[in-house]
Amino acid sequence: MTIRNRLTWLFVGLVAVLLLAVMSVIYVLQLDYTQEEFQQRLLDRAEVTGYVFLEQDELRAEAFQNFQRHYLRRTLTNEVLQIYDARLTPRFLAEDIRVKVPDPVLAQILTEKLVYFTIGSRQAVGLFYHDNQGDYIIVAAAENIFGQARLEHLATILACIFVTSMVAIYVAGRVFAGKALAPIAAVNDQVDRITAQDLHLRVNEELSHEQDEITRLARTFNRMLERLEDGFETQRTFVSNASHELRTPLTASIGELQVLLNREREPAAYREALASVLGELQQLKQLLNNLLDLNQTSSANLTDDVRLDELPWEVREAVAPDQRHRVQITLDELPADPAPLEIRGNRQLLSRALTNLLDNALKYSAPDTPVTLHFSYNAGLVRLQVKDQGIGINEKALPQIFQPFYRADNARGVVGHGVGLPLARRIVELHGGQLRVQSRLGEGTTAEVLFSVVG
Amino acid sequence: MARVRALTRRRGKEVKGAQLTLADLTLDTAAKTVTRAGQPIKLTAREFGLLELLMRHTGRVLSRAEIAGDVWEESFDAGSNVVDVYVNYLRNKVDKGFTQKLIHTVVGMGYVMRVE
Repeated sequence: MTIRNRLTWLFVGLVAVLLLAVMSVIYVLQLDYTQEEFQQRLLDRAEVTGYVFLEQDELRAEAFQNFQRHYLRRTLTNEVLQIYDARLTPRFLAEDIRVKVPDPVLAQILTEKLVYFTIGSRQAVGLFYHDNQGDYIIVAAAENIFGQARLEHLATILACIFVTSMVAIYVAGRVFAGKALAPIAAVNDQVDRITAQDLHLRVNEELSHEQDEITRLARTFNRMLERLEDGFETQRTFVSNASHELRTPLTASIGELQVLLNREREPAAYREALASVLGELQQLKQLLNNLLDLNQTSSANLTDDVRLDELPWEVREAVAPDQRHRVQITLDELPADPAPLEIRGNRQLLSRALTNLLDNALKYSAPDTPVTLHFSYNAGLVRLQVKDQGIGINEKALPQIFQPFYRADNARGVVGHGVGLPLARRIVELHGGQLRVQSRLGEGTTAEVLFSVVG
Repeated sequence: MARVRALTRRRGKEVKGAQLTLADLTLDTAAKTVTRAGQPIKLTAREFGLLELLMRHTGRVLSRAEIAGDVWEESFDAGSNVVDVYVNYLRNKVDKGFTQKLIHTVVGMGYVMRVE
């Protein structure tokens, strides 16, 4: 069932219940009024009858019937008037066979003085009448044909109104629901048109009134599309950069091998060329490893207990032996309890992240300058700093250094792919830490890994 | 990788069975395991290095500078408490819960391991 149908039927149901309630009240009130009015008229008859017979002494039955025919008969259908005495026997008027009033009812009239009751299709009133000649009971009965007809008429009118209202409400409900939901259908159509190829398209935000739900929906869609477009763009750049980075060492190696195979050479020449190609291939493998890690690091394999204060030594051991002497490790005061220094994570990944930072520090500074690895712990915060006195990073380039494949202008002279730093940050963030880089062009760079640990 | 494995295998054979023992404390330099009274003790690389150094020189008092130079290959500023702190970490793992203490402080000189 569509929302439109649901809304329509809900609307119809609500109105039907309301309408039925109002109509029932009207009908019941009318029924009450008709009955009361008829009873009042019967009572009038009974009183007139009593007056005519009993106050005007000695009136004959024929005279009353004459009177009744002339003045009273027309207005009430099948009217019957009877008078009984205290012994419950009919007086003055012969008992009408059509209305045999049962004795218990007459007795009830004697005690209660005024009783409304029904005899067959007639409504009746019994009146106790006290006269100087004795006590009498006067019964007036008649069929309420007009009242009944009026009620039936009212019922017909109400039914007609009900049916037409329902039809009208259904049609109006469908139209309004359709109109209210039209913008959603429009948004739906527009979103449907947008594919991966044209993510630049946007949903029209002015389909509906400003600030209403549909405008918000359109805005939400547009924001999502923006993020998607960004994501696609990043992915595209990543792939094209990666392809370029992979092709460069391959092209160099192929060229080198082609030149080598041109003619016969000395064994030393072969060795030199192959060593060069091997270097290129190792570079390539490292790049591929980094790329794989960049895409595969996930929290699933954070299962080691890693002592953060051990990391600097592990990392230094991973550095090429001829560079190791440049790495100086300094330690601040350690806490008396080693528990806060231990985090749950992946030792290999954390080591890789710090190694990348250390490699960068060594790569982008002069061969004779030291690189400091500083560890400190203070009030629940573990800080690992890698500090060099190298070329530094331009202020403008600093915000971009975490983009994969980004290389600052002054870094082009050094072999690298621009993957290490993004990977390091990814790993650190995976472990709930933060990686910050501060730098001053020409003076040096400090990379800082921060972990908030339970102190 | 294969070459690295081959190297470690050869080295492993060389030092195989190199177990250091003091009272009920045993340290296996090849397997890098430590047990006391049969219970394995989990140590970090630096803690293991420190214990190995102390056990190799059982009965000899080692100064903080000697320990720092060997375990951390570094000479720390006088301000750093790293040696003291690590000896403390090690005590908590090795001596805690045992009546017989094996790691001892020699005031003004350094640390020594011996049965007293």
